[in-house]
Amino acid sequence: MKFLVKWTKEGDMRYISHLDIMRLFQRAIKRKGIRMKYTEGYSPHPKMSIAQPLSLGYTSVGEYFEFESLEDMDPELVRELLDSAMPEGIRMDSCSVLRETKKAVGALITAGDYHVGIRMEDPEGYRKIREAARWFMEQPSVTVQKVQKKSGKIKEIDIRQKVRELEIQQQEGYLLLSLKVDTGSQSNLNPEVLLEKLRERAELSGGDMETMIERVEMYAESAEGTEIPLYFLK
Amino acid sequence: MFEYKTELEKKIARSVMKVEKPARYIGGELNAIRKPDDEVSMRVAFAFPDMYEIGMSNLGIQILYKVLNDIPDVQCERVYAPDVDFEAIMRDDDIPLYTLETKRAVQESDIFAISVGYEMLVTNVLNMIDLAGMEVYAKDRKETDPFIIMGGPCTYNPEPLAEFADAFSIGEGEEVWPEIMEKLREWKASGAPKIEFLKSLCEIEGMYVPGFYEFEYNEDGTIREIRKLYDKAPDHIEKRIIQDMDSAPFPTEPVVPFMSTVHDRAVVEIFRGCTRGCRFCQAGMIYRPVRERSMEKIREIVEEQLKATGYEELSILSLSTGDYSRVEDLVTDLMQLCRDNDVSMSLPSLRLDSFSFKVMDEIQGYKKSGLTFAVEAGSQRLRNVINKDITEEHIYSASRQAFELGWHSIKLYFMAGLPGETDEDLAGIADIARNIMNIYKEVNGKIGRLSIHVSVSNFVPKPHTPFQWFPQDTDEEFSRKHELVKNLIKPMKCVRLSYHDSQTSYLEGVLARGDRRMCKTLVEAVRLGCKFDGWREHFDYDKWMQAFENTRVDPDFYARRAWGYDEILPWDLIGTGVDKEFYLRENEKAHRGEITKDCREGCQMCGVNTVFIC
Repeated sequence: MKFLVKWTKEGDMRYISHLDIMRLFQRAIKRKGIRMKYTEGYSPHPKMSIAQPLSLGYTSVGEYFEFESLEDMDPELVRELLDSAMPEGIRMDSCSVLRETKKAVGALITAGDYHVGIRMEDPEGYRKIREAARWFMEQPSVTVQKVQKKSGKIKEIDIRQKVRELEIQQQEGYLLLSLKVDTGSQSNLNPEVLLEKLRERAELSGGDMETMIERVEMYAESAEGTEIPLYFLK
Repeated sequence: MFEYKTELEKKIARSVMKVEKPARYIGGELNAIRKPDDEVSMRVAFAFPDMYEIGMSNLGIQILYKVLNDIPDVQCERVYAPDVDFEAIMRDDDIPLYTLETKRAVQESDIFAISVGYEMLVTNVLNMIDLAGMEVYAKDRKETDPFIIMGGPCTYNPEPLAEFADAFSIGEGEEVWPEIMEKLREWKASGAPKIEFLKSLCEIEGMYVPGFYEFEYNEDGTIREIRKLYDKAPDHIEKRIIQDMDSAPFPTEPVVPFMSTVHDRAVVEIFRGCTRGCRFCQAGMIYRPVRERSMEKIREIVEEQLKATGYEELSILSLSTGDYSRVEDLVTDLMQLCRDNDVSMSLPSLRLDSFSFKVMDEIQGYKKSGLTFAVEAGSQRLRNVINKDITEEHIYSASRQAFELGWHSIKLYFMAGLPGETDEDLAGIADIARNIMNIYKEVNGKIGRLSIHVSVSNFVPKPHTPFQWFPQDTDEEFSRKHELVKNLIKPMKCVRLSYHDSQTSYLEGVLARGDRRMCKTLVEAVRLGCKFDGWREHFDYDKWMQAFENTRVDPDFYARRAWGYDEILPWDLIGTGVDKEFYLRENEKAHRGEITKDCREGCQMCGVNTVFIC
C-alpha cells in the first residue's frame, strides 16, 4: 500500500539534511514494525521518497514523503505510529493512501508557498526591501546568472517568471514575505535567489539582515488542470 | 519566527549554518535524554574529545550516558570537539563549549567528564577545557568551575594529563560513576570547598586524584620517588571493573545520530578481555580478566536495541569474536534474529574455520568483502617473540578455502619496529603476500581479480604491556623499513601496501609513556596551534617538536630509551590487576623467543586473579 504523509520540519531539525531525514524515516518505519516494500535488484532499497528536497536551514510546515508498505494499513494509524517515532521538531500531520502509480508524487509538484522572514537593525532597511519588492513585481522580467552545475557555464535565468505571488507584511520585529513560486523539476526557484536579488536592488548586504525561510505548502496539477495542494492527490 | 529560548541558543543557531555538517552541533537525536530542569540536581557534561561522528561511535560514552541518566536527578549531557571551522566562530562570537542536550555552557555543569580514548586526543582535551572558558591547569581553576574528571583507556598512564584533571577514574566506569555522584551529592549539600570533594573521592576505589601526589626525579631524568601529599590518598590505584556482564548496564536505547557516523549501527558487546596474551597489545592486558555476557542477555539486548533504534545493521563487539565460548550458537542465533528483522550483520574478528566461512558466505552473499588476517609479523620466529598465535599454514589453508568459495580480496595486518625484528622478518611480509598470490593462481588459474592489501602499522610500546620498557624505532628507521617492504612488494601488481605515518607513531610513543613534566609541553603545543593530531590534515609534527624544544622536554627520553626494570615507571601508581613481574617475565620470554599459552589452556599467573575473579 502506498502512503503520502504530510510532515513538518521545525526548530533545530532545519539543520538535518535530506539524506539524514531519509535515514531517520526509514529507521522510524522499521522501529514501528511497518514492513516496507523494497526495490528489486542487486542492492535493494526501501521504496520511499521525500518530495522536493528542502534546502538545509529552511523550516517547513508543508513537507511530504511517500512510501510503500507490504501490508495494508489504516493511514491514520500509520500517521500516529510515525509521529510517535519522531524527534522534537518533526511532526506527521496527515497521511493518505495513494493509488499505486509508478510516478512519484514529488515529480508532479509545480508550485510552492514560502514565508520569508527578514529582520534588520535599521528600520530604513524594511522600506528599501518593500521598494525592491514592488520594483521586482512591476518588471516583465528579471534575470540572474546561474552557474550550470555540470558544464560550469553561466546561464541567464528569468526569475520574475517564476514568482507568481509576492506579498509583504510588517510583523512585530520583522518583515514577512509571502511567496508563491515555481517549485519542482520543471521550473524551480529557491527563495534565497529572489532574496539575493532584492537585497542587491535595495543595496543591502547579507550582514544587514537576518533571514528565516519556511516552506508552507506545495502544489501539483490535478487531472482537471488546476493546481491543488499535494495532500488532495489521490 | 525569530524566537530562541536563550541567548546562547540564538548564537548557536546563527552560527551553525555557516559551518560544515551542522547536525554535529544541535543534539535532539532520537533517544537523547533531556530531563525537566526542576528534576535535575546534578549535571555531568560528558565529552569525547574528537569530532561528533567519532565520539558518537564510542561505546563507552553510550554506556556511561545510560548509567548516569539512570540516576533520577542526574542529567548527563554529551559534548564533542567542534571542528576547526566552528571553533573559529565560537571564539569570535563568544560561544562557549556547550552540551548537546540542553545547550548549556559546560562551565555550568557540576562535572566535566572527558573520556580519553587514545593518545592523539590530548591537545583536544586541553583545547576543549579552554573553549569551555576554564583554565587548563587544575590548580588555576575557580571554586565555581566544574570538577574535571578524566578516564578512558588512555588514562592507564594518566601522567601527561595529571596537571589538568582534578581526578581520574581508572578502569571501567559502570560502577564507579554512581559512587562519584553520591560523593558529589554529599559534597554539594555540605557547602565545603572543592578540595573536600577530591578528598572524598580517595575513598572510592579506582579514583586517582593527581594533585595528592608529587613526583621527584633523579639527575638522569628517571623517577626517584612518588610522594603522597594527602595521607589518606591510596598508595596504589587499582582499576575498577564490572565482574558480571549480565547484570552490568548496557544501552538498549542508544542515541541514534541523524548524520552518518563511523559506527552507525546497533552494537552489543559480547565479552570483555582477551586470553591470548599478545605481548604488544595493551588492550589484551588492561581489560583482563575475560568476562562473557550470556547468549540470552546478548539476544535480549539486541532485540531491545533494534526495537528502539530501527538500525539496519548489527555489529558484535569484543577483542576477538571467535574466542566467545559458544560462538557458533551465538552467531547462528543472531543471524536468525537479523534475518527476521531485515537487519544485516557484521562480524569482526572471527577465526577463519569452516564454520566462519559458512557464516560469512551467508551474510555476505555475492557481495563478498575482504578477508582479514592480523598476522602482525613476517616470520614464525618473530610471531613467537610477540606471542601472536597464528601460523602461515593456517593463513594459507584459510586463503585457499576462501578463494575456492569465491573470495578475491585479502587484507593482511603487520607491524614494523617490533622487538628483535630483523630485515628478514620484514622480507617475510612480502613472502606471505606472494605465497597467497600463488595460491590464488593455483585455484583460479590466473591473477585476475585478486587484491591483497598489506597494511603495516608502526609498533608503539605501551604502558602496562610486556614491551613497556622497549625503545621505539626512530621515524627514520620506520621509513627505511617501509621502503624495504615496498620494494619487495612492488613487483606484485595485485598487492597494495599502506603504512602508518612514522611521525604520528613517534609522537604517540612519546605521549604513551610520558610523565608529568610533559604537561607543560602539551600546553605549549596547544598554544602553537596543535589539535586533532589524529587527523592527518591537522597533524603538525614541526609544531610538536617546537613545543618540546620550547619547554625543554626531550621526547626521545620517553620513546627511544631502553627503560630499566628497576625504574619507577610514571604509571606505577596505577594497577590493572596484572603484576609488573608478569610483564617482566613475559618480556624475558620474548627475548628468548618463547611463547606463553593462551590462559584458557592453563593459568599463566599474570596476577589478575588475585584481585578479580577470572
